[in-house]
Amino acid sequence: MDGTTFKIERREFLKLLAGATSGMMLSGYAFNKLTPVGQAYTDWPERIERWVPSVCLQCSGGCGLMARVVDGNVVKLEGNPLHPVNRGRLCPLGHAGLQLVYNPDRIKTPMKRVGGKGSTQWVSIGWDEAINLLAERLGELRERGQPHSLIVLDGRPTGLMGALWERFCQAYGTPNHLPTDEPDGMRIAHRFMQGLDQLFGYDLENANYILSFGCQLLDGWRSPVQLARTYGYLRQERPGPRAKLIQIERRLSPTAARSDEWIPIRPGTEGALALGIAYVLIREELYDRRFIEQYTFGFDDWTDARGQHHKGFRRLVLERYRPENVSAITGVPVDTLIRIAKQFATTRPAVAIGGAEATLHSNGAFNALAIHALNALVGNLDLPGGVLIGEEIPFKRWPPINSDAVAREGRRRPRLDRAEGDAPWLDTLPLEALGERILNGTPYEVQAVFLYASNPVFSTPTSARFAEALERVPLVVSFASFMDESTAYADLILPDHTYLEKWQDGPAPPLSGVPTLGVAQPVIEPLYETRHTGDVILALARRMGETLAAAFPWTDFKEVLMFSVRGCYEARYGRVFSESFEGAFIRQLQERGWWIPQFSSFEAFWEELVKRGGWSGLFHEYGKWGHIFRTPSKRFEFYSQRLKAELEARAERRGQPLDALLEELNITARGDEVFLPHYEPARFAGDESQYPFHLNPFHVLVLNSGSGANLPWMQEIVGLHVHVKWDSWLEIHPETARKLGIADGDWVWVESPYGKVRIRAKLYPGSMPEVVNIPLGLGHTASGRWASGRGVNPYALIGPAADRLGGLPARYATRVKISKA
Amino acid sequence: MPRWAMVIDLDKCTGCQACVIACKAENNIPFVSPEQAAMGRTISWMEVIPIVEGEYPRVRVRYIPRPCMQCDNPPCTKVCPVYATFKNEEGLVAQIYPRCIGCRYCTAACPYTVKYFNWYAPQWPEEMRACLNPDVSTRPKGVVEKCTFCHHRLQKAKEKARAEQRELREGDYVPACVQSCPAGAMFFGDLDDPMSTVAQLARSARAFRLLDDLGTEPKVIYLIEGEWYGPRKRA
Amino acid sequence: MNRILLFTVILVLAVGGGYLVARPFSEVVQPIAFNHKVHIDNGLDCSACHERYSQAAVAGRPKLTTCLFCHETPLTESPEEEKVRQYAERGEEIPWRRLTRLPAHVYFSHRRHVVLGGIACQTCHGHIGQSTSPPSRPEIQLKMNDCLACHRQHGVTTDCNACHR
Repeated sequence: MDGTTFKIERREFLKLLAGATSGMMLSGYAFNKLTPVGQAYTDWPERIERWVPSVCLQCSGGCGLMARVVDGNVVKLEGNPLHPVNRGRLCPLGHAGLQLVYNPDRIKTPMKRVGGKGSTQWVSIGWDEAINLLAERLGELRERGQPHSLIVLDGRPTGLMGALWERFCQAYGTPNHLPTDEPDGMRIAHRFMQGLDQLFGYDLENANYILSFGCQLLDGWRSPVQLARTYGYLRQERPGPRAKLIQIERRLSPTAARSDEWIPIRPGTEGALALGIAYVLIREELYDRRFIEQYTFGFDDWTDARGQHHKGFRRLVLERYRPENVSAITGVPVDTLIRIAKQFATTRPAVAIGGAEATLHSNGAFNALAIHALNALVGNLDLPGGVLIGEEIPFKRWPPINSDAVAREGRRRPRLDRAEGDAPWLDTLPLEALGERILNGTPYEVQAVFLYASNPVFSTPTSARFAEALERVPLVVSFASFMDESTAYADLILPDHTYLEKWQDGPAPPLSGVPTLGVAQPVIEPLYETRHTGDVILALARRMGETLAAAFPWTDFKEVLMFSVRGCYEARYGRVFSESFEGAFIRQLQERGWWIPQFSSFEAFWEELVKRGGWSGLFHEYGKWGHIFRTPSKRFEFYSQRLKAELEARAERRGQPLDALLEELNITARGDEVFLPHYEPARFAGDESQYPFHLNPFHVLVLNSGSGANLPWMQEIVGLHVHVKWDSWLEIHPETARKLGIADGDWVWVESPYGKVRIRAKLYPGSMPEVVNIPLGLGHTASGRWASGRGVNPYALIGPAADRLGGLPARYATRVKISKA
Repeated sequence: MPRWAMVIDLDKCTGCQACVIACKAENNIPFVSPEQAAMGRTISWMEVIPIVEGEYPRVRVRYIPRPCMQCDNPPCTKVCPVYATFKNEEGLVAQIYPRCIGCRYCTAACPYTVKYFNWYAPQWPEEMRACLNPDVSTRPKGVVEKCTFCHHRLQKAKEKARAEQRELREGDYVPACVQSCPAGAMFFGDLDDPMSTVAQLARSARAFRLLDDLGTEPKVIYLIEGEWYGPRKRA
Repeated sequence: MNRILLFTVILVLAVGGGYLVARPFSEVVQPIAFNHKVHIDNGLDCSACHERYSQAAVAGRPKLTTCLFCHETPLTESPEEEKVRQYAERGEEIPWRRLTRLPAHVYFSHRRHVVLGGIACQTCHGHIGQSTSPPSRPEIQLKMNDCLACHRQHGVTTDCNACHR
């Protein structure tokens, strides 16, 4: 057929088509029967609906959930209205839990690496085989007398899973149950000034003045929903004058943006500002004199038992921290400093909070001491609107362990992250230093690494070194739900359930001072061949000989949970979550010392506990002066005798003079000043002339430090204020950008002494001229289809610097240079 | 007949975007690929609009959560050629997908840019289909969608109230965003009931409505201290 | 000539394609030749098997356990009855096929119509209760106009939002 005979114009074709179509309609063929039908004959959903209370375990905020389950699938997550942490509310990450549980990239079965170290080939195996394999390998280590060479990297060391790991390590014989969650620098201040190794809460709901030193109150700090609830309450609900929130930070974060005043400050100088504020309080005699006299030590000059004279905090501050000096250090104008100081002193109750921004520096520990000193100056410890020293959840104590000789011997070895021996550090080493130790085989070779809720290859500086370290270890076991950057180095993967598939305790972080325990229960049947890591530990112990088996008298984790919460039942205070009216009445009774048992048996208690989602201690008892100062002086110590004793002991063990140790610890102060809150100049990697900008890797609520990156909904809302989705960005001051010839949206190179990344620049007037900001949590190389290959990981730019006193990673201590790409 | 309205207290809003994700989860809103997102095709019935104002160091950011305004005088319904979008008796501006022909006149007419077009049939990985809300349909390709004030929740709430032989009470019907707001910045109820929370808040001196001078009579009322100047150009 | 040929081709494709796309209700074959009438005659109510019509949106189909409540031991010599026990032995649910189906964009609640609205089952489902063998298609095929007519007749809402989701 040639082209001329079969030539049909478009117009004609349409006519024909119309004719044919009408013909079809005329043919009577049932257009009226053309009913769009949704379901197939076999698809017949019953729509049977249940609401199941549980706890969101994506972050450690401890929010109570109500999961809507239809025909066996969770279709919506809401907050549990009875839960005192979130009162029925939920953050964006909480809602996106659906995309975590039903994520197509979950690890679906246990897997074993094939082809030896370095290969990325795994094969699915059964649970029995997996656990036998692991028991065998761990058994060999014990037989060789090397149980200590197992390390457990635990990203969630609080709560019962942390306790179970610790117990396993104890029975097995390793001292190395090592936390990998982000350290809170304020703990150092609590330890040295009050002798308490715990995190304190803050009674923000009753505070009138909140002075936040870089604390990300609205960006994921501790319990995001509780903080947002408190913010809303302080802004418009609480009667009386509105509380003020002052945010001292190097970036206009959402917290800073929603504060009453944002005070930009040079990175690492937060401690100096706190001391400048202290100067005004002392100079103008605005401090709480009664509290200082009755409950503090080392404020004024003093003489010790040997007749030696010591400098007090007052004299140190008056000599060294005049506002003009502090202003020169911090870049905060003198008038601002004085105004803030006076407001802090006169708007009681006022509270000072230090965040990671202020404490994850080379001088972090001293910044923490300086900030916490402000709370003592206004006498606001364990009072309404102040710092709260909370109670622990009254879990029932587990029976003691009879560990065998091998275990006892193993436990005697030094912990891998402890500073004994070579390092001058006073406390634990940061994670990256741990990687170096594994690589160097010091103080001993590591034979096995467990990764639980921990992804060090993504979230440590110089992560390539950590990856090398994992490659070197003969046995790496991961309990991850996703193939993350660290799990990629695992020899054995034993995937845990996601949080909606398991029993778990969900303790609320310290904030309100009231012990609060949420109970997570399986909302749905496990979707895949995953297993509760707690159950795996128990199964492993049962297969590893009698002494280990005897240490774990429980069949599964649910039993562990039930055993432990019996302590709440027997505590004779507190209550299973209840409606606020009913709760208020019971609380009033308990505050007056009455105890009316709610349940006749533990079984009844348990049933109600699971139905309502948890237990709460109901109220905080203020002013426990006898308990909150566990220092040598039994007072709040401006002059930390504990710090002094520890440093002197360390110097003696190392056979060196104290000053030499201080030199090694990068402490510039000498004499009494060392043990007082003072400002140590922060050190930065990279010379200022070559690397003119500070790098500020900041947290974003929705990325949850990285685990949010594989949830598409989170990627869609990640860079709200700069209009960025699905990518990282560099925030740069518009004037700085103009000088560098960078326009909004340009690609730039960011280079530090440690690495180089290519990223899009966004002009943001909320950046300081000398600081550039990159969000943390993107730039994955694994972890799922939506996370992988999107954006950059600022850890690639950060060096392994740390505060050597407290072992805090100096995450904000890197300088960078910027050039157009 | 109730007149459903929402009040959003901008003084309490922390810009966390819980409302945005609560909405996406409740209403089966699909996510689009990063490439599509770069073309501005992300669907977000509830969107938080950030407004960065001022110059360093006196910079401030305001967050404006923006659902459909459910206008009493909606510009979108007037241009719909097929009665796919209309205002119902209770003041809700409905969007009926099977009627929609995808002309996008309403998308252009809406001054609040709340209407989203489905350029493609929504796509979820098979696993994620399991967590779709059975109360809400998934939209086909080529139709416009928008915030409905979670009207499916209203249908269920009404049915429940009738089954319990009582009137609808305040709090029976609350959209997903309002329910989830961590800061407690969002309220919902009947504007015609003078005793309702929303009606009381709407009378507050802090109350204003977005682009009020257009005469759209929005039923989303914002609260803010001081004067509202409207979105300014970003610095 | 060519035009006629092309017209024919398009017509055939359109009708055939249309048939394939819009094929309305192919025959529904149930796994068991269930006799509604016998059950009704024996005094059972619709709710005996469609348990949730009075409480929920979906009336539901009987679970195997519901059937076994009576049929655990043979009541008749029917081979169809025997199938129930065969399913039980295999530990499977009976894969009942759905006869009346709803478009995906419609929300319909049984409780709302039957309990609150007082509509009889027969209004929509016809004489299914009198059938002695499973019908291969619904007796009444409802269109939106049928819904609207009934709504208007009873003075209930005709707001699109009330049913379209």
